[in-house]
Amino acid sequence: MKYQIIFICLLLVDGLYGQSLSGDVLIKNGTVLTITNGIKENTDVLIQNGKIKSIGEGLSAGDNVRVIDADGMYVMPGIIDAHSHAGIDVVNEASAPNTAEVFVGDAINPYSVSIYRALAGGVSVSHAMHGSANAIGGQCETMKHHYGEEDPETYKMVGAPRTIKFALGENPMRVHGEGNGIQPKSRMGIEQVFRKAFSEAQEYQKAWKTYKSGGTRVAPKLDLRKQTLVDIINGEIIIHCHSYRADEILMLMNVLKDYGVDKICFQHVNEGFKVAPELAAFGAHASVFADWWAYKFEVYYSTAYNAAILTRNNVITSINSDSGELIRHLYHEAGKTQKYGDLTDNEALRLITLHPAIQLGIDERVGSLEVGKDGDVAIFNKHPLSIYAVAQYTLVDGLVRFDINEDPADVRLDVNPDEKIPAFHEIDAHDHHRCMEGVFEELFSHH
Amino acid sequence: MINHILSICLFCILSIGLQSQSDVPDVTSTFAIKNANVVVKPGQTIEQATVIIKDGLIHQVGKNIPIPYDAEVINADSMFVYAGFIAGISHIGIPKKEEKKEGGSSSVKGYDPPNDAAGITPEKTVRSVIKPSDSSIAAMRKLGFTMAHVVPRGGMMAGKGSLISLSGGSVEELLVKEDMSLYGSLKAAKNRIYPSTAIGVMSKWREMYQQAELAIDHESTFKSAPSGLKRPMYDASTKALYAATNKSIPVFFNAPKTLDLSRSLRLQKDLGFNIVASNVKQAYKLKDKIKSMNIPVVISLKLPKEEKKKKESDDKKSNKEDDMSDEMKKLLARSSAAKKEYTSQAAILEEANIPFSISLTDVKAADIQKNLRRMIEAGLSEDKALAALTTNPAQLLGISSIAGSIEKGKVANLIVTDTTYFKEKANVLYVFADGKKFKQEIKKKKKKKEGDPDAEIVLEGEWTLSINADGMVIGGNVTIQKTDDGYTGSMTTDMDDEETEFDSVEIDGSNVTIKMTGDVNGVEAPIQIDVVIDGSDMEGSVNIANGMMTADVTGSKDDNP
Repeated sequence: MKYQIIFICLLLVDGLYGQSLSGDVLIKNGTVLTITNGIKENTDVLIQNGKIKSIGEGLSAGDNVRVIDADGMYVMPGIIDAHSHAGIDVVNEASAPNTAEVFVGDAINPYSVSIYRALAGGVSVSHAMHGSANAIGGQCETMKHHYGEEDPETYKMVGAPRTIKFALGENPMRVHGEGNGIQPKSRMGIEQVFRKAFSEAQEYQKAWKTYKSGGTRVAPKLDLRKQTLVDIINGEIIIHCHSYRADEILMLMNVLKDYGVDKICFQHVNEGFKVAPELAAFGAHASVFADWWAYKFEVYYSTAYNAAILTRNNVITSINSDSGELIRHLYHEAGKTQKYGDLTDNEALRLITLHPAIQLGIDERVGSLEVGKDGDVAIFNKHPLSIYAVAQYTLVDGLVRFDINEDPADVRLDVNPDEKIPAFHEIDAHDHHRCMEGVFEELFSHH
Repeated sequence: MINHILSICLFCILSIGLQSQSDVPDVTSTFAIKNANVVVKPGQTIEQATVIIKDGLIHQVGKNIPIPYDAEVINADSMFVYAGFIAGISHIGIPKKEEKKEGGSSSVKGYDPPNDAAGITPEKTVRSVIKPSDSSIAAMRKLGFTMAHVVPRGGMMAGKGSLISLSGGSVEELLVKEDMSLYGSLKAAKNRIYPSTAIGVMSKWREMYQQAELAIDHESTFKSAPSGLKRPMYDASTKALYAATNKSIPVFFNAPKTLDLSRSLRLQKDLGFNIVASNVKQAYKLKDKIKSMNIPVVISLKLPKEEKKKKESDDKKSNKEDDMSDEMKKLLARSSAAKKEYTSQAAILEEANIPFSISLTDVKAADIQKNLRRMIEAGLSEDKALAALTTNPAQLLGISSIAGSIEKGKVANLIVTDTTYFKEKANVLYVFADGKKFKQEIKKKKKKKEGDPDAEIVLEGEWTLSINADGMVIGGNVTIQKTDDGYTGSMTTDMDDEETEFDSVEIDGSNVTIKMTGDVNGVEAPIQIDVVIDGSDMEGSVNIANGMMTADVTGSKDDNP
């Protein structure tokens, strides 16, 4: 007898993937901090179908459109965190010094409450990054904070450019050199990991070109790792590189020049102030902490003036969290640049709005309040750079994802039926400093 | 060592069982199950009907059927006959030991491991790993399973699945249909071996799959015009994926939680294989997507732990509840709601009109009937429960023409029960697999002594035990010490001097649960002793390898000198 497995053809409904969520909201009478077009008092912002339809006085919307009375409040673009590990449940694929092919977008966890906590700090978009265990880590995901949705696909910011994590210095040296006895054992070794990867990618690209132009009849062996490096060389992926020391920052810029790569944002970049003119000349960006260093040897030398010095040297600079705690008050972090470096209000706010948007290649869509941009808005009770500021509403694509008036104690979307009560989730160690999360053995260290 | 003895004992019992089934051949291969309630298929029962089995097949079904002269007659008045159950996916017959082979040796380079160390063994077949003597085959047949889709244990690409008959015999006799599926998961490799995370696994899936597609091209190009071409590499793993990439077999993807399911559907979307969502526990979360994408679903029979039923008389506990903070009460309520949701999965799927089959990959044998009942209590209809065990898996596995219902010409896979299968006190009296009769001995269960959660007992000390495993009595000695944070202890038996340390000793009033790990038939397995202490007496049971075998235990405390 013949047994045949009959399977109904799977109907791929494309709409189920990459679906965009959007809503309509009218925000009335706020002080609107546009970032790119000054401050507008008593002004309304109308969002339709997830996009900013108009900014002006006396706007009205349909009867069914939610109206937020922002009288006495400050309306700013949703805050963007260029370095976060919130909302993903895998950070490091720490098994090899180069894992360019892996993608943290595969590990989006809509059940992570840290996304909601970020929303409570006015953050609407975050850059969920691979960790820093490997010289070439995995690809990252630019996430829209649609907390409440359970389909991971809905968190992906469709259309955002691809990004990838690189890492310099102690972390990859410790994980692979010390931990596994392989390259890289030193900063020199790390440079060679990059050079080897780029060189192999060039060969790989050549082999495929030859095949595709009919030069060979058989395709080269598919290698997604090499293909990812090819995509970097072709300018399709922005590098975000974990870095501290000035010398290695210069090293990476030299490597990139040799391979014709120019899209890079240095992360942490605590000694960026030493090489600010060089960064500006290269066109590299910098995403820094406001005042955080000395947590390991290679990061003893730093300054809280870093962001201001980089800004004054025309380096596109942002302030990031890299932490489930700092992400809740990035506006405070931005405010510190006024104490250390006298940045103007607008310069300080750009560090957490337009500049991270530029670094992620999404500034056409978010980072400022302009007609046509996404309806990502944060509304504060006080000026967001005030120490008394508390986020009241956070909107993502015109959907209110945080409302301080409706802020339940338990916002979990999924409960493990066998968990121990009381249920503490992702507090402390888990929420902090996840750059080295998932790294084997007791190699854990900050960033 | 106690475990050893019990395993010997277990072996004896099993081999006795096997002897009566196979070593002494049945006098006839014709059977007549007479005057039974025959559940032809879900929703269709013929009362007082007869089923004739001949040479392994169902010969006739209906009322007023003449009984063949050579038939062994089973008078089944008031009994129920069902089609034999079919497991949608399982590891039946695959010893757990197999799993331990993975992980690689120290010489494996974690950053560039060989495929098998990384959990990539799509070439592994059921034929190569199944053990016909594995006790799970008899254990599952006892519950009514007569056919099973079996997949190897392993990592992200564990191997090929095959359909087996639980009628016993050699590997050849077990196999019904070979290499009919690929078993996949997001399981990462251990010991610093790539891929060590879900993101690594997903990348590796994409790469392997696409490499297989290219390799097929290479092979066919080479076949048509080999001159001037490098010969194709016949990599076993890549080659084993061809059947999945050309969609001649489906990929059963292990997807217990919602995130596993979302991620496997993402991979399916990227690569286009035919997916069967397997061992699913939270399908209710993605039911719209499952429905619109027409994804076949095989749900897990493993359920969250049942909530303890509150006793009104339990003053201590109700006080405890009064003292509870509001927050704690709310957290408990959510936890309890989550338990309900998991248990309602099958009912929710039924309501959404999504057909499903049953996975046995992670449920304990002892929980199968109980969990089916819990699902029914949560709203699943008995008809759909039966469909999930019979007609649905038959359709899913492409064997509707030979199995899944009691119809003339189909394989004689049948279950005879004393009352409807899903009733709490239902007993399976006979199982026919491939027309072979298996009679079940029904043990009258002794009413278990009820423990008192408020009682105060003295557990520490020396205890002498008597373990009665189906008539074979073994003596044992248990020593229990009290420590600052509980109890520790060990056990020996009179068969040898080996001492087995306890993993844990839990105590709730006079109820005591002792857990240890030991060697059962060469496999490390859990052993659990549940007893009620009454002064210097104890009484209860030993459970070996999650219900593979149980024995009664009595014991008394040695008088302290």
